[in-house]
Amino acid sequence: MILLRTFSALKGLPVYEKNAAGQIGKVIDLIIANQTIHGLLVDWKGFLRGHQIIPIEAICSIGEDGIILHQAEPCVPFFHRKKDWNTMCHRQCAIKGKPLLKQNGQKMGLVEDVYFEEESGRMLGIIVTDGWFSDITEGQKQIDVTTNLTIGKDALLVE
Amino acid sequence: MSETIEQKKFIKGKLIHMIYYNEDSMYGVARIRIKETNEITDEKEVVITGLFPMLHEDELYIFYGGFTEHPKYGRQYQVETFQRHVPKTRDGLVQYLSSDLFSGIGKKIAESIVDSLGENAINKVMKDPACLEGIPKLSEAKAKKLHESLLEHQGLEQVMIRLSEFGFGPQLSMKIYKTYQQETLDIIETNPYQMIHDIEGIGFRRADELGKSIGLEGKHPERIRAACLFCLQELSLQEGHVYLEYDVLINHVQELLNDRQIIDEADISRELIALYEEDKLILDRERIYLHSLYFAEKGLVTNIKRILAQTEYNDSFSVDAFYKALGDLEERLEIEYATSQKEAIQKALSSPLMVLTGGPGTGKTTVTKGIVELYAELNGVSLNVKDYSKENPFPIMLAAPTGRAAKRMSEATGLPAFTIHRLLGWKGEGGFEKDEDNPIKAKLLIVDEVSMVDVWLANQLFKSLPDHIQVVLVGDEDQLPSVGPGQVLKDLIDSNVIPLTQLVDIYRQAEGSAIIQLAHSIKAGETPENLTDPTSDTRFFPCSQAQIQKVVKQVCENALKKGYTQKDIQVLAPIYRGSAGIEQLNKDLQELFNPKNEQRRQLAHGEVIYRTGDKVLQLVNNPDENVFNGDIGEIVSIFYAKENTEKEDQLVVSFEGQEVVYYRQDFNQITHAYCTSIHKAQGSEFPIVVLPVVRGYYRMLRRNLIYTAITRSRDYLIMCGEKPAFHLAVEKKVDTNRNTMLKQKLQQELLETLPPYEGEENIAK
Repeated sequence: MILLRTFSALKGLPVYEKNAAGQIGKVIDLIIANQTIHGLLVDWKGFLRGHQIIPIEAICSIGEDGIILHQAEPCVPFFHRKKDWNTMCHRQCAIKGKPLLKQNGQKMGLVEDVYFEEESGRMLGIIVTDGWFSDITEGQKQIDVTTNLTIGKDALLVE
Repeated sequence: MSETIEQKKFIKGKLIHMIYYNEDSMYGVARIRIKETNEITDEKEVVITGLFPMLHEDELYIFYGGFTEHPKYGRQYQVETFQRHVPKTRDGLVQYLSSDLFSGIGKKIAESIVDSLGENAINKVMKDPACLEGIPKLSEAKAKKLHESLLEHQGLEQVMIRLSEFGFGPQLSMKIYKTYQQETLDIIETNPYQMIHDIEGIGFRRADELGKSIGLEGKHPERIRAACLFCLQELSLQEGHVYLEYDVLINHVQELLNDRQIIDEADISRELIALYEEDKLILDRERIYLHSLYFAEKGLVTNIKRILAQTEYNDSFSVDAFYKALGDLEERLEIEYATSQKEAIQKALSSPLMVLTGGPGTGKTTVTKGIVELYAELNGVSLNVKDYSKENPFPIMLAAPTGRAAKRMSEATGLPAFTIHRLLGWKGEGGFEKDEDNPIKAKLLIVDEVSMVDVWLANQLFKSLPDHIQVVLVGDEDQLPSVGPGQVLKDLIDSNVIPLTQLVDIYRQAEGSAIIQLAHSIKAGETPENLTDPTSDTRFFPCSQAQIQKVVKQVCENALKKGYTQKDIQVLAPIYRGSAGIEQLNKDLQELFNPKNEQRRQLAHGEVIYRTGDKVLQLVNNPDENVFNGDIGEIVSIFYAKENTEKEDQLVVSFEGQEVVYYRQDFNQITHAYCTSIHKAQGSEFPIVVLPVVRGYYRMLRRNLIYTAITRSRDYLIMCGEKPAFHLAVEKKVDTNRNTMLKQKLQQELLETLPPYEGEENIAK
């Protein structure tokens, strides 16, 4: 069974370590590398922690009320992220709110959320919005991005 | 007793091969075949060590010294002095002259030289090369070459022998010889005081000893003059004064000269005037200046006046246009400028020159960004660097005194930023490319970390400005003053004649950042009661000086475990020596971050070991390679001498991708950077700062030092040590007022010509 996840379902969830069962922190963002979710950005409680990236492989399970990790280490401080990594909403590298364009130039809408496979982190779809009004009247659109997706500085391009 | 009666111990021998030789220090190890000796030894060969020039295989040397037992290398002959054996016999001379040492001279020519000049040929040639004229087959060029080579080989030895009579060790003698070459003896015998200026490591006292031995004693004018210049230079450079007061200088000179007889004020005063007449120093009423400092200060004032005289910016845009553009910018950046920040931007854009100051977190960077963006908006200038070419250069220039500060500026604004040296086209010895005749091409210049700029650099910068330019100087006046003389930022602020904005409200991470709160309480002279209480971003681990090494190591180990790298963690200390000093901490931290490993290459330089992966600090400006004092890099590879065509050991250091090669003689341009001095860290920012504070640092502890160290940390600050020492530092506000006339001169020049600046309310804190 493939479990699909969205960012909006994960945001704010507490993160626990399996063995310690202590709460580590809360999910604040996703780290997106190319077309996969590389990991979670966690606001980690405690000194010398801050915003840390936890790779997707470290996740044991994602439940409704929390995320359990196999183990917390190794994690990476957020400022050590690679230059071509993106996030959903972190200011400098967010994809949320960027226009999603088809290669024929047709604008599909603005990025609102992403769907991905829990196990592999593979990004499957992007939810786009045309604004609040059309969200209510028409509903949000879901765009399949399993084919080639390019994340650029000003927009996302899909084949 | 028998030692003294006996002849000096020596070994006479020829080189078999050089085992090791460092051209920089002239330290060598060589294997020698013994020809003759008065030492007791059965061996035919001996290993010698000591300071001597590169030995030649064809020459016979006499080494004076004694045998020592090296713990690792065994019996060695430690050379104290040496002499090249000058052949005296006819055959010996011919052999010597026709050897490889002198190119172009074969046996035939050598024979004819010796035949016509006799056995004293070498001395004759050295004294007067003209005596070589008329020797068959010896062309003029060859004669000249022979003379030069002879001098080269002979000069050093003569100088060494002479200098050793004056008590100079071989190392200094080599240095002196390297500086003056053939003129060495001339200079040391006529005016030894010259060496104070030319040779590092020779102070007045040393030169004075030499002077005494050749009869320059007591009230000798040369002696007094040298002392005057020496005191002036030392006090200017060490204490950062731009000038010295007459009384102070006289006192210092007297103190320096009075060993047996009292030197009167009148004598010193007379020489001071003579020096002034010879243009060696400047007398300005009671103030005595070094030449370069006087003109730097004067030039700076003139050029500030020139920049301030521009009036075209007063109403270059309407208030409406400004607020509209500002509103757009706030929307785009998703920030909201506070009223004081808006005023700062507006003032900067409508003045020819503005000083912007404020502590950490008061929004200097945000305002800088605002100035850049709005300047572009209001003047219709593109911020895309690609739109510009060499003929049409980018009109906004950002600069800072250090590479790291420039990099930070560039990151904050998204625009290229340079070091001031780079901006001015510094060419090392050759000086600066940019000056009044070849000004920089820009319409807006923003300089960050101005507190680090000394009066020399400030002058060079201002005189390189074109007639039409707006300048914004950004800095924090509570930080350590510049290393060089002057206190430019403080004087500009205190003069009250230059448009000024002081940001006082704290915005950055407004709530919760204990680092910034701590910085501001230190600035106000208070040690917080709860200093040792843990906060979200600071820690204080109380420990004694003896425990510092352990605690620092543990803290770093802990940070490493949490995913940080050696690049993120910076240990800062104020002093080099001692158990909590920079040198020791660097040793410990190298062991932690980059321990010895079979796979990692390493090279020893004195007591320091450089290893691949080491974090290193650049200590001098090197414009050719575009690396500057304070830049931090990592050793990416090491090549041993036997592996490369240059036959030299090499270190390759990468500074943010910029690779620089260091040969042995350049190794003193770098040092380990796991722990650096607080002075060297000025202008840089680090995710984690570890700051030991103990009473052992007593001599250096003061408020602006601690303040500077603390404000270097971006995310976390870990202090360790003694709370009383910390308290002591915060209490001690050393009156670092340096002697400068910049403030007065600015007021004098500007109050007459310009109406007093109506910005008093901003100046009040």
